[in-house]
Amino acid sequence: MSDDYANPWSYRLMWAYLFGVVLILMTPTFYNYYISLNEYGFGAANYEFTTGWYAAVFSDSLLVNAFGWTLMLGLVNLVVTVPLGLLAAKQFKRRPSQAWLVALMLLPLFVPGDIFASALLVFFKTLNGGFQELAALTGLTFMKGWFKLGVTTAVIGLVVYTVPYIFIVILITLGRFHPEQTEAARACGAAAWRAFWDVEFPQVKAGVFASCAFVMILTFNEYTRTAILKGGFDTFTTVLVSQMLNTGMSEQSYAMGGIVSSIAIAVIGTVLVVTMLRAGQTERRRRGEEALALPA
Amino acid sequence: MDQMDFTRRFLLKSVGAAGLVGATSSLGLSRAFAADPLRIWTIGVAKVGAEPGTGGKDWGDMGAQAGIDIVYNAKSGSADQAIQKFVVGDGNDLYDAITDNGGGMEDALASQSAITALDTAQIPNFANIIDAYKDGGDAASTIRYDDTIYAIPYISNADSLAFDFEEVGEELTSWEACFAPEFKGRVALQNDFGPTFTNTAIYLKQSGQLDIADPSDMTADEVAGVAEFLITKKQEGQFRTFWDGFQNGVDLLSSGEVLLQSCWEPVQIVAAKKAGKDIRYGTMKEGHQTWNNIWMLTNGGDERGQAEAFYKLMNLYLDPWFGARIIATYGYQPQMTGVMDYIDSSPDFSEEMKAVIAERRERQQARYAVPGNSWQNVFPTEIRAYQDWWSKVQSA
Repeated sequence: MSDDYANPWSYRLMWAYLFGVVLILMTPTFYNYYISLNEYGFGAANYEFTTGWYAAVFSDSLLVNAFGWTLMLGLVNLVVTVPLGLLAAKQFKRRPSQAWLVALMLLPLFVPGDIFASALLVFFKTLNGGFQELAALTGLTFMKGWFKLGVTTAVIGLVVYTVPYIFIVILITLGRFHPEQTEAARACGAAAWRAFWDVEFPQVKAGVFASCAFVMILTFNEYTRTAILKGGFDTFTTVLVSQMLNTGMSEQSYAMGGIVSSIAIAVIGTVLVVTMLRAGQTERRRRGEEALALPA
Repeated sequence: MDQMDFTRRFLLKSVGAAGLVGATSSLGLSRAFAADPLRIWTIGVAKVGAEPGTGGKDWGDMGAQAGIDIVYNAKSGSADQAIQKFVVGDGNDLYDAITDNGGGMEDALASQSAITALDTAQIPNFANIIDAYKDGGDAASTIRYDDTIYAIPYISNADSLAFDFEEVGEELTSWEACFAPEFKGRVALQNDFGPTFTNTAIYLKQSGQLDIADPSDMTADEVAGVAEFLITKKQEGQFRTFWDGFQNGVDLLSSGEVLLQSCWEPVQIVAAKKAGKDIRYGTMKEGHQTWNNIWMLTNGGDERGQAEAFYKLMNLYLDPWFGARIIATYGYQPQMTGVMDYIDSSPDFSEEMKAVIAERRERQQARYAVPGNSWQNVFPTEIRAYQDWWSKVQSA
């Protein structure tokens, strides 16, 4: 709720606008719901309401397996990419004159997906050959299949693709952070990790959490690179694209889309509502702090 | 059996090993063993269900009928991507058997030693294969490389024009309709230079508007002529859109957004069923692009001892059991003889279904009988000209 000093109408309008924007952005998902609740699926002349496809989702082992693999790729990618992006952003923040670092980090964004995937395919082929030679020479057979097409290669492709986005997102949140705060913490005797965790992280955590969401979204949306670099398993997008091109998407796919959309809407809605409820409290605290800071 | 199961335990194990991501390849994801099920990389229309007219919930019915276990992976890429995966990447380590994108992939893969020559003596039903694939047949080269058989066909067709009969008001028998002013803005063509250039070339050649020696393998000048014709028509607003993929094709036809669409027969079948409209698949007097899809045994699959399982599956693809169901479900031409006899003697097919199949067969044979037909060619000699001119058509 609003505080006593703000205009209640501007406050309400601001939140109505924000909810409106989110609703408009979410509109396409409602068409997906509409199809997923039709007994006859997409493009049908007849509409018969059913929730049966939602029950059938989990009997579609191809879709569920693909979803599981994609989730796993996303989680592994998240664990690898977010720390990488954070470290790169911190490095740039420390030495803002290093424009080359930004250019280097953003480079993968300028490479078309097909070319990117083909280049990595050739790279892994060569690398795998090298490791096989090495394994043969040293007898260390455990490294023989490291770079065969599989989870490793798919994850590396995803990491190279998603790091630039994560770097930028975290760099934006680092904009309001002053390195002197870390220096002050270190001067007070805090270890590097303690200084990071207690001083830096609270200020960049919004960016880190946003990055985590971003990594998952990018992983679930990515097709070209993953299709070329993955091993003998399917991802959510390869299954959906294959269906769309060859037989049409199954009704279970729409239901799966509905479930994923529902989770996204629930998460976004919760964040919005909690933020709205806490906004007044935050504003009052800010005013209080300003008042205390004034000279007596 | 489905592709490698993804279990909660596996998830935890994998995520727990995230710090050692390099080790994930050693979880056995990219290795197969002789006792393993046949790992296939193919498209959804390569399977049918035991119940006629259905695509099957999964590959269980196909596996049971062939007497093997199958692990399916969804194939979704272009011919180039598929070749890349097998020639450059280690697709051979991942899959035992794969299907093509139509028109010449077996030559590309065999020449690079990515697939292995087949021993047709191991496939009893090879004796049933239709004449087109026998020595000297129209489609003989599509399963051979250097006069050696490297592939087994599983579906084929002569692609034509689907149209909303009620709205159009007549049976369409010429590609002329696609370019006729009365259908301006209500026509869709396929967003693929192969079929769209080929069908347009067939029309322009047969109607005497352009000198084209071989619509399947045009010279750069011939491609330019076909493309310029399409660009002119496109700029006049003749085409509503260029459809991409099965889903998009069905949507356009069933919604009534377009009245005419050059497309695959399953698109017409599903659109008619979904919309409850009389959407028909015509026979074009100028000819059609004919094509087939084939199965190949990868070298990796052969090395892993999967040839026997592969031959069992191929035996099923040349069995009327499959042929009858593929025409009932998707309308594709069966690749073996004896299909109608099988249907007549099978209790699985209703009288209504038998009538539908007989009618589809009749129209199919009529399309195949047209002299102007041309085989699909994924790798024409002047492929760069095709690609360059197609991008001009797209951007016009």
